[in-house]
Amino acid sequence: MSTSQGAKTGQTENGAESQVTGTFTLKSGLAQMTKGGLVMDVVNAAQAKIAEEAGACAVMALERVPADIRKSGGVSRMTDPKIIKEIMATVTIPVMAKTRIGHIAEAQILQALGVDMIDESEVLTPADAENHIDKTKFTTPFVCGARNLGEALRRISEGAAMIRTKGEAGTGNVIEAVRHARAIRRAIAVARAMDETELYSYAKQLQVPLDLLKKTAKLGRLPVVNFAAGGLATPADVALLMQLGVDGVFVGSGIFKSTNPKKRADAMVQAVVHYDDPKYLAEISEDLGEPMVGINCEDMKEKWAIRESKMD
Amino acid sequence: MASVKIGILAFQGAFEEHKRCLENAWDKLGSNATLDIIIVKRPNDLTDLDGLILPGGESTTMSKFLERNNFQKLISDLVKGHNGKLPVTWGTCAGLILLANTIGGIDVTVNRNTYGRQNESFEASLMLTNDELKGNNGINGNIYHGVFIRAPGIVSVDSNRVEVLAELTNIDHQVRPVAVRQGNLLATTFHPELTDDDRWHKYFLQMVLERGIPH
Repeated sequence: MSTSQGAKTGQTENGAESQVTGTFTLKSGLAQMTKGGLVMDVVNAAQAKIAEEAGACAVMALERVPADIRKSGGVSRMTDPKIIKEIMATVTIPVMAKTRIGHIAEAQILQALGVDMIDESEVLTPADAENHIDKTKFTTPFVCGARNLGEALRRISEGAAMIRTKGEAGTGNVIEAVRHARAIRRAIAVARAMDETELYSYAKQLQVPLDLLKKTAKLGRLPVVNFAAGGLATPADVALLMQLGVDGVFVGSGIFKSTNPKKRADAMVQAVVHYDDPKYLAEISEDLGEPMVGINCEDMKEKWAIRESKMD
Repeated sequence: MASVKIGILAFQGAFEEHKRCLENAWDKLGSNATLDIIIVKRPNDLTDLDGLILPGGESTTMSKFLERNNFQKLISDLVKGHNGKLPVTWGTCAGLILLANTIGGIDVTVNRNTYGRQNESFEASLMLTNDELKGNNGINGNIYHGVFIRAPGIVSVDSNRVEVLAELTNIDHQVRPVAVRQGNLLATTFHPELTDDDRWHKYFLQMVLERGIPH
């Protein structure tokens, strides 16, 4: 990822006055610094503090957690800047915030606020039925949701510095996150087994740039950091997704919709690190109180994960 | 065969990136010993280390993990040589904050997020002031391309036992240290693990090899 940047600098003559900001190395680098961590949805400063104290590697500043967005219905938009600013003033860890898909102006506002990362998110109501944001125009890094390798590589080609599975946010049901993590992993394994000739037609089939597909096949993983998201509610859910090879997790409603958010936050942060240690997971899973109630995905009125597929 | 055992603290952050860089740098050093990299998550993983890396990531997150299982004291004792061995220890970015503030042992004053938030993260050429680091690279030997992400700043060097290894001329024309060494401890405010320039990883491994391999 840093190859081109590194090559450029060898020729720089003088150390002074050659600072550059907003490069892809810096954007994807921030994502790399969140690896092995848990990003927690928070709706106010008090929750942000709990998240930080539990060891979250970043927070997502929101007006309502996804479970409440589902409940209240209607159009869901960018969070009030006042809430975002309060959260930014409260914690020292990175603060992320969501823009609607394709809503360039909301993203510009979030960048002006100085958030550390922007999530172009299907959890909010999409603003553009055909286009995603051209993320290369921004200095702030973006994370985007994906259900499969095609979506993931298209978002990366638009400039996303980080990918997360979509899952089904606000359900407390992990099935979709697992489906998406497995789909991406399986498609990469298929690409890896192909020769160069086959990759041409696979790129066409996936509707992705050939060079990105080649890079992915060579690396055996997505070329940017890849987290799981959408329905994780327990330390075991976290461990399951980590074992499927993601670099970290987002947890939304799963924490602050449970009966003991502090304890659950703590346990889920621990689970990201110790995902391969069932004995330890048994200890930290004990007596966490009731998890969020949860929704069975087949009972849902609206699946958010398919929100951007109409245009894909 | 003799082996060099390097631990990478893996609570959170860019520990895999360091692993890759260490392996690449090791191949180029041409040592007869083998490199054994330990992903450190449990206290037992700290046993018999010749070197330890505290990676970049979120220092607050890592501190929370250090509070558990007596980890902080174990690492603190380790880097101060209380266990008989004095492993070479390198903190990058968040790792520097841990070395300066939490674990202790390096006499510098550190300011978190000194340049601001992510939008102020930057890449810049910095000046190497240490001959060994310069010597590893023929062309433009004294220049190194630094990647600074929500980086901490070294506000002051508080002991003459601290050697400054690299300096950055800021936009305000002030020259500030961005890499320091004190005995067996090494610290950088930037991220060599995000670049292909392996001089810092070589330098770290050479520090380890200079101490001899007791295995």
